Amino acid sequence: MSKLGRTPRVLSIPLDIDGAEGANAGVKRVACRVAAALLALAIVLFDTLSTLEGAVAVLYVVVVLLAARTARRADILWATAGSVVLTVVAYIDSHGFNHVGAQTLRACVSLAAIGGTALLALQNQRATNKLAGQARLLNLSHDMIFVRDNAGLITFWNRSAEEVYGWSAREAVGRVADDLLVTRYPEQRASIEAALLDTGRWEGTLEQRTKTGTTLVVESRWVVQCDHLRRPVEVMETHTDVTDRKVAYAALVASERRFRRMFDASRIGVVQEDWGALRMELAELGLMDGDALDAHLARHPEFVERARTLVNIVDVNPALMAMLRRDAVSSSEVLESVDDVLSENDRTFASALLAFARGDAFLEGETEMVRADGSRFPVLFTITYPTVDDADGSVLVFVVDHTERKQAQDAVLAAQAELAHASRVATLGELTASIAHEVNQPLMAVVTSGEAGMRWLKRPVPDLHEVETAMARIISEGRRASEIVKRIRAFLTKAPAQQDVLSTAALIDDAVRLVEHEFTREQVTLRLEVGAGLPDIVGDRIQLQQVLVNLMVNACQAMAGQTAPRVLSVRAARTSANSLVISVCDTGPGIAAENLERLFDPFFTTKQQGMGMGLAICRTTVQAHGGELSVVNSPGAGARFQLTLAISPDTIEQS
Amino acid sequence: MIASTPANSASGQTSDAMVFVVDDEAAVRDSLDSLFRSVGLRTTLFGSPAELLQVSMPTVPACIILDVRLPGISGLDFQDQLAKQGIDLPIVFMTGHGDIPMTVRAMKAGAVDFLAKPFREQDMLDAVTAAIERDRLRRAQSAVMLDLRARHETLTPREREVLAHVVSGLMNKQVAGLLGLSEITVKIHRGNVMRKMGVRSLADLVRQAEALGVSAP
Repeated sequence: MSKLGRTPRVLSIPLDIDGAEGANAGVKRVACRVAAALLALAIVLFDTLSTLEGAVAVLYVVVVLLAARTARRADILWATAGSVVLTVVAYIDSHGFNHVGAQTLRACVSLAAIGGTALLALQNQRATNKLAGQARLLNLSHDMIFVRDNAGLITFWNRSAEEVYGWSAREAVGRVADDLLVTRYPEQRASIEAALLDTGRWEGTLEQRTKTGTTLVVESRWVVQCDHLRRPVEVMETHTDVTDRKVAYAALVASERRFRRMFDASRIGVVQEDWGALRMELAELGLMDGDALDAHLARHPEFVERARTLVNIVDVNPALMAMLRRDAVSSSEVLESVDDVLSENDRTFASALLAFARGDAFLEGETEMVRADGSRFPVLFTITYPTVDDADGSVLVFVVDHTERKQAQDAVLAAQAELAHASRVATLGELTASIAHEVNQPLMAVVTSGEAGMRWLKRPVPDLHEVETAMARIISEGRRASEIVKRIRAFLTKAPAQQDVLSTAALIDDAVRLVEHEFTREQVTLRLEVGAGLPDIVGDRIQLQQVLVNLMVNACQAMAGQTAPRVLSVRAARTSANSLVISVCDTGPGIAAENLERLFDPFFTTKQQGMGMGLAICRTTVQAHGGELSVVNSPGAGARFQLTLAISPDTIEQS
Repeated sequence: MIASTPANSASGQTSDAMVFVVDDEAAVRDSLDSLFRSVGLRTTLFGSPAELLQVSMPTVPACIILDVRLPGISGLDFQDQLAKQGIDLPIVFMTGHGDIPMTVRAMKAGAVDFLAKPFREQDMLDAVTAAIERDRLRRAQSAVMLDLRARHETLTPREREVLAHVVSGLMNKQVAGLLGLSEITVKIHRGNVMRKMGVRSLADLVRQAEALGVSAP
C-alpha cells in the first residue's frame, strides 16, 4: 500500500486512464473484471462442490480487490454485492436456515472480511480519483511541470513539458533532467540545492534547451516533497517560458531608458501632470463634456482658477527647471500645481480644460509661464492628454521657451512697422498738394461762413436766419476738417499691427478718401465697384489702407500726363467661400515686361524720386495678413493689382 | 435768384450784378453764396464747369469765381475753354495752394485776381467788385459802340463822305472843292451828320469817328 502513496505511481494512473494510453487502460479494466468474475465463479464452485469445511468465502476478498483494480466505484460495489450474495447463497445451500454453529460463524467472518475490504477499496478509489484529478490539473497547466527524484531522474513529465520541450513523457521519464534540458543555472547548482533543502523551495530564472535545440528562458519554481521521516524524496519543478516576455521586457527597459533620456536631456521642457483630481471633480459636476463645460465656464469663469489648483505636477524635466530658473534639487516638491508655473495672464487654460473635457488628444498654444523669481516668459506648448484606456493617465505638457524667438520676431515686426511708417510718410508726402487742398476746403468754408455771418449781423436789420445757417456750416465744416486731420494722423500712427474685424467696404472707402483729391488734381475718374454685403476681413486697418493708398497713388501717377482717358477702377468681390479680391486697375501704359519680375523687390523703382519700398511693403503687409498681392499686366491697357484676402471666420460662419 | 438790398456795400454795387460760383464742395459754394448775398450780390452756384456751360449768359454785369482744382478739368483749362466760346466774363480764381506759374498763366489769360484759400473776405469782395466793374465797363463800352454804329448806318453815302473829310481836318470849302459840291451843300450835309450822330462839337465827332474807325478815303 505504501507504494500507492508514492506520488509517481499515483500520478501514473491518470496518465494511463485518459489521453493516448486510454485504450490500453480500457483493456486492462476489462481484464480485471473478467478475472474477478472468473475467480468468483471458481470460489462458488469450490464452495459448493467441495466438502471442505472452512472459510472459503474469505477468498471473495480477492474478487473485490481485483474489481478495485479498475478504480471504478461501480465495479467495487458490484463485486462486493456479488460476493456477499454468493456467500449467503452457498451457506443456505449447504446448511439451510436451521443450523447455527461454526459454519455460521465462518460465513459471518467471510462477510465481514468482504465488507471491510470493500470499504477500504472504496476509500482508496476515492483518494485515487482525487489525486488523478489533481494530476490532470497538472497536465492542463500551461507551465512545464516535471518531477525528479533525488538522483535527478525524471519521474513525471506533464503535457506542456511534452509540447514545449519536445520529448514525450515516455522519452523523458527515467532521464536525468539537467542532462536532458542542458539546464544552465544562474548560480552554483550546489548552492541552489542547499537552499532548496533548507527552505523546501527555490525560485529562479534558468536557461534550458529543447529537443530542437532552441534555448528557452524559463522562470523556475521548485518544491521538495518529503517522506514521513522528512527526508526529501522528490522535487517538483514548474517552469514558465518567459523567453518572449524577457525580450519584451528588455525592449521595454530600453524604451523606458530612451524616453527617460529624452525626458532628462531634451531641451524641450516637459511637465508630467496628474489631472485625476480634476477629472473626478469634473465628473462629479457632470462636466466631462465639451458643451456642458463651455456653458459652465461662461457662467462661472472663476472655475478656471480652481481647476488650475487641481492639476498636480508629478514630474518636470531638467530643461523645464532651467527655464523656470529653479534648482534641479527642488524639482517637483516645490512645484505642486499648475498654478505655480502658469502666469496669471494665461488665457489658454480654459481651452485646455475644454479640450480635456471633449476628449481631445492634444492641444497646442502659446502662453506665459512664471520663473522662480516671479518674472514671466512666453512659451509655446503642446498638451497631450491620455487616452481613455491609458492606465497611467498622466498629462504631458511640452514647453518651448519662446523668449528669444519672440524677441527676434518682435524686432522684425518693429522694423517692418518702422519701414511701413516711413513709407506712409513718403506716400503722404507725395499727396501734400491733395491734403492741403482737402484741409483748406473746410477751413475756407469756416472762415468765409464766419465772415459772411458777421456781415449778416452788421446789417441795419440783422438777418439771424442767415447767421444761423452760417454758424451751422462753421460747426459742420470745422468737424469735417478735424475728421480729415484725424484720418491723416491715424494713417501716420506708429502702432503695432492689430487684428481687427474690418468692413471691406469701409476700408476701401477710407483709403479712397485719403487720395480722392489726388484724383481730382490728376483729373482721374474714379470708378468704385464695391458690391453690397461684402464679407468682413481680419487685419490691421492702417496697414491695409496703406496698401490700397499706395496702389491708387501709383495708378494715378502712372496715368499722369496722358491724353487717353484716366480711369481708376477699384473693385471688390468675394471670389470663394473664404476669400475676397480687391483689385485696383488703371488705364495707364501698363508695366514694362522687363520690370514685371522685379516689381515687388525692395528698392526697385521706376520713379525718379521713388524709394522703391512701396510695393515691397505692400506685398509683405498682405502676406502678413495671410493674403496675396499680384499684378496682371496688359501693356497699353493699364495694370491691374489684385489683392486677395481671407474672409473673417465670423463672416464665413454667418453665411 | 436772391436779390437783397446791400446794407453796407463797400463797393457800392447795385443789386443787378451776378456772381457765378464754381466749386465742387457744397460747403465752399454755400459759404461764398452767403457772403455775396450779404453784400447784395446775386449768385448762381455750380458744382462743376459743365453745369455752368449749360446756362445762358447773363445780360447784367457778372463774374465767375472758379476753383483751380475742379473735378475732370483744371480751372485754367476751363478759362481757355470759355475764351474760345466767346464767353468773356471776368474770372476770379481760388486755390488751395497757388504757385507762381499757375498765377502767371491765369493772369495772362485775363483773370481778375488769384486768391489763396482761405482768403480774407474783403479781398474776395474787392476782387469781385473789380471783376464786376470790369464787366460793367465792357458792357457799357459795347453799348456805346452799338449806338454809334446804328447812327452811322443812318448816314447817307454823301454824308459819310463829308464826315470822313471833316474829321480828317478839312475846311468846308476844301471838302466842297474835293467833292465838287457847293460850300452851302457841304454845310447842310455836315449839319445832318452832327444831328444824326448826336454830337454838338467837331471834337466829339472826331472821337466818334475814331471809335468807328472812320478815316478819309
